[in-house]
Amino acid sequence: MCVRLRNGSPPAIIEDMPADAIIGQSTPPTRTQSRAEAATAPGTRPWLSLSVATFVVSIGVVLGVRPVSDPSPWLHLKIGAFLLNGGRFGMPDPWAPFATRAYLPTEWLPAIVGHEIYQAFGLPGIAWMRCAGILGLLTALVWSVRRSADTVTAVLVSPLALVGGYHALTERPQLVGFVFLAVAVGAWWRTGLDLRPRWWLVPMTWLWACSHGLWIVGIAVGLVIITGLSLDRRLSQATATRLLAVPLLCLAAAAVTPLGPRLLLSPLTVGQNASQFVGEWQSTSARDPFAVVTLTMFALVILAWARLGRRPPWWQIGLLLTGIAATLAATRTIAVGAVFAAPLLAHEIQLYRGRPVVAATRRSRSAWAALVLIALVAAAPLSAARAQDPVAVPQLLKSQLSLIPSGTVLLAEGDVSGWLFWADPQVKPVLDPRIEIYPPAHVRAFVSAMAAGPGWRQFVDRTGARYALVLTGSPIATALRERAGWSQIGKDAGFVLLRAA
Amino acid sequence: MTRHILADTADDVGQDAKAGRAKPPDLERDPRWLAPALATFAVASTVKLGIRAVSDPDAWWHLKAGAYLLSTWHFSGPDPWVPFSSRPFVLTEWLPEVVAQTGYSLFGLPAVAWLRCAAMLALLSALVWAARHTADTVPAIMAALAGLIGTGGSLSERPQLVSFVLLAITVGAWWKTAGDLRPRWWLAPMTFLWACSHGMWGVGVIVGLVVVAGLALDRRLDRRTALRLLAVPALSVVAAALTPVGPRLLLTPVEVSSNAAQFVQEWQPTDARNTFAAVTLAMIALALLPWIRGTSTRPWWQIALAGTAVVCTLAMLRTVPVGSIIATPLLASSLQEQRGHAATPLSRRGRSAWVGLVAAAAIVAAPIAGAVAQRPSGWPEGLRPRLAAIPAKTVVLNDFAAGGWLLWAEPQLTPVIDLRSEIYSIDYIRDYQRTEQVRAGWQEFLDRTKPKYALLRTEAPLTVALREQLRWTTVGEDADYVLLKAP
Repeated sequence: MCVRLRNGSPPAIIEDMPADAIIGQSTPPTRTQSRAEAATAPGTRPWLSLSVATFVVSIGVVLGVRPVSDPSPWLHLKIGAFLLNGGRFGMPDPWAPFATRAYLPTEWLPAIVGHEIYQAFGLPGIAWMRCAGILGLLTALVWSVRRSADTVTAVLVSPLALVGGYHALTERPQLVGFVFLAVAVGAWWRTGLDLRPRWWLVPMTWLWACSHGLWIVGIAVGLVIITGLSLDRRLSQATATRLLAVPLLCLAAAAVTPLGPRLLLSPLTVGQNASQFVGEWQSTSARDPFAVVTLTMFALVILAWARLGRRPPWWQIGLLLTGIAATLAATRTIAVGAVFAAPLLAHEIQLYRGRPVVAATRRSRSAWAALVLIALVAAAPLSAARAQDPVAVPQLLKSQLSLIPSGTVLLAEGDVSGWLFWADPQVKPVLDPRIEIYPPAHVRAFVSAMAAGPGWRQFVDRTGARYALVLTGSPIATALRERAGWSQIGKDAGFVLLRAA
Repeated sequence: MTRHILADTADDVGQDAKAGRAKPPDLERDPRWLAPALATFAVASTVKLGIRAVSDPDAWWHLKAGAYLLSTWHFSGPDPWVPFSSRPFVLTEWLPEVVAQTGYSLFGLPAVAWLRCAAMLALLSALVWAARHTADTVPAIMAALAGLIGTGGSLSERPQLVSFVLLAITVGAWWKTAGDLRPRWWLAPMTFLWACSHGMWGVGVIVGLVVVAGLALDRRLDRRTALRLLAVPALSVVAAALTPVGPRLLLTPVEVSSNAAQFVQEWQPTDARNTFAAVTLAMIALALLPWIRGTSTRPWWQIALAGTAVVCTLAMLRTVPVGSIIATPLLASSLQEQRGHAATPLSRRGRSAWVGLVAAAAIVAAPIAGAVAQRPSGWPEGLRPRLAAIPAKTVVLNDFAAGGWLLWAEPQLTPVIDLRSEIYSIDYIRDYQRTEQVRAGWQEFLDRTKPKYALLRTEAPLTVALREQLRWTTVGEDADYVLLKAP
């Protein structure tokens, strides 16, 4: 059945589509390469595209340029410095006396790059990197959706996905992971349309696996699309084999990073502890505004499918179901859902508008690149002005911390221990954000101790902690002061530094 | 114009049957034994799940409220039991409370367990009824069973079970209205009963408004029909205002939710990994799949119901059953669509067989309840002698969930708080929470309430703090609770 366009014209065959391919109801409207056609395409308004793009890139800069506030970058800076100085992780862990597993630095590449930039430009350099990551993600999203939508639709839907993925827009290696994910989704979307394998995904996955553990999701996307295409009966055996070779080679590429094949198991190792104890690994609250935005994007797609009488192919349904599952699974994966939702929503909006998709010209590509470049240049002085000092960490306690004897064990709130590694390397926190290197019993005892639950005193005694950097007024701070007689020696940014009696 | 495949075809089949025309021989393709076997399985499973010891933390204060009402017939006023409350106690769920208390006074706790089982059977029946309009018996029972599992997290001995039954009936009624555009006026008096039973009656009104709005978007309503249909939810609201509690009942959902949404777990956002939420979301996904892969345009009223089901499922744990109940006829309709023909009308014989099966199950459940539900489960019954020895009016620092049980089991004692969060000020609950979590200033609440005993969870941080810091001593332990005494 043909798609009914508003002007009544039937859709043209997608460029690059094999002659024997079935043109389903999800076939996007005409995609033309001709500049002449582009100029005469109905509704083409270059000034509108440019205005919207400028606005959207500006929002990316506003979101990106702010003080360093995430608890994770401190740990990554420390890891980057450690690796650059020739350090290698093993047992015993160089910083964590209670670790029972060797740490695998799965995010070594952005950690090293981040440290180098920090050395050169200080914290503003890290803030600028985050801004660059956000603009990179925006660009990747625009590229991902641009195959099935015109520029205006693409630059409207992409920032919506950026909002949905807001939790990911921090100064952490995962931002790089999301840029790669948006590229992978865009690549597989194109494969869904033309059945051509994108071999360049293989070296990209190698780079991705050096940067963040999200590379495994890229492989999952490929498998979902291939399964969907099989259900759509669009794959011959030869094509299926060629397409399946891409995720398989991606897996092989991930196994040959400097960390070796053990990287393949790292997502499972991290997930085991994190899913029990780490907040962002807990299941998504449907009242989370960014989850609401992402779920709304999916709801609009479903609405279009249910009301407009089009029959979407299985590979798009597979992408939708995977995206919804990712959105609901954990706060950490809402952004995965948002990246999946972008091309689906853009595609439906484009079909609803009934306008042809004009292929991006070299001029429009250059204009976007120039816009992003200008934004990055502008972001540099803005970062210097806004991000000289970190927030949400007890900077004022650094002088007291530096007086603590080297090797002293310190009971620290989980998140702040990454900052401790960076700010005051001679103390030994009882736990740090690399939660996968600790035995679950130790993490459980830590959680109970922080709630001043049964065994809190034994935990403090067992670990030999003589200092504590914990939240003001928290159960453990109250218990240490009131029941164990610890004294407060400093206070800043919602933390108190306590010393044993 | 939107197509309404099933509704239209069902009417056609019904007319054929009335006219005495022969039914096409391949219309019911199920083996003869399948529907009775499935029905027996569904009813037996419901009895199996329904008969267990009374354990819900809320059941106890509902029984106490029933006894209070039977002796005073005061539907609202200052709370008679907890002096630390600062807002009036309004008995919005008085009807099931009175019924349960009457049953309890006649037969003891087994009567409460039996009532729960009976309500679950009624819910199953209401779900089957709602689904049967759009589907044959087999898919209807399958969808109803899925719906019952989706509500599984809330199938406890509380008045909300009545709400679920009445919601299933309401959803079924509005499905019928969407088919024939006739108002079901009986929903108004039913809402009166509902409003006497539980605060979720407003959901029934919302379902009506959602369906009417959807029908309007489908352009199936002229002005007169729209007004007649809108009169049903409007009259339902009026009926809710006429209960013995009076018009103030209309505002109680807001009053209850303002406190509960902050402090009560079941009012928190749904965890999508929760089994019951996952079942409900899977039901909705299965219902939507034929919509997506099919070629017919779906009516707005069904889309609106599906959207409402998703929102209810994800909004909070408490409303997962609402999503599940709304999803049941949607799933049944989609299952029926896979069969490729419209639902056959239910015969009188089929109806009688179902009623007979459910009645037999309810009768069988009575002696089983007598055998398994004589004593409460999960509550420190072993501490009762020690609690009974405490002087009357003594304040007990209690675990939040145990407040209702303490009120019911040892009415001479005064708990500092109970699950009726709406009768306490927000500041008071925050102070209680600070003490429960042993945060800075936690002893201020003890100075304010002056408890001499504490009934807390054995592993609670507050238990540790009272023992270690204030030298409270252990009087006894049972069922994961500990009774402590101040020095």
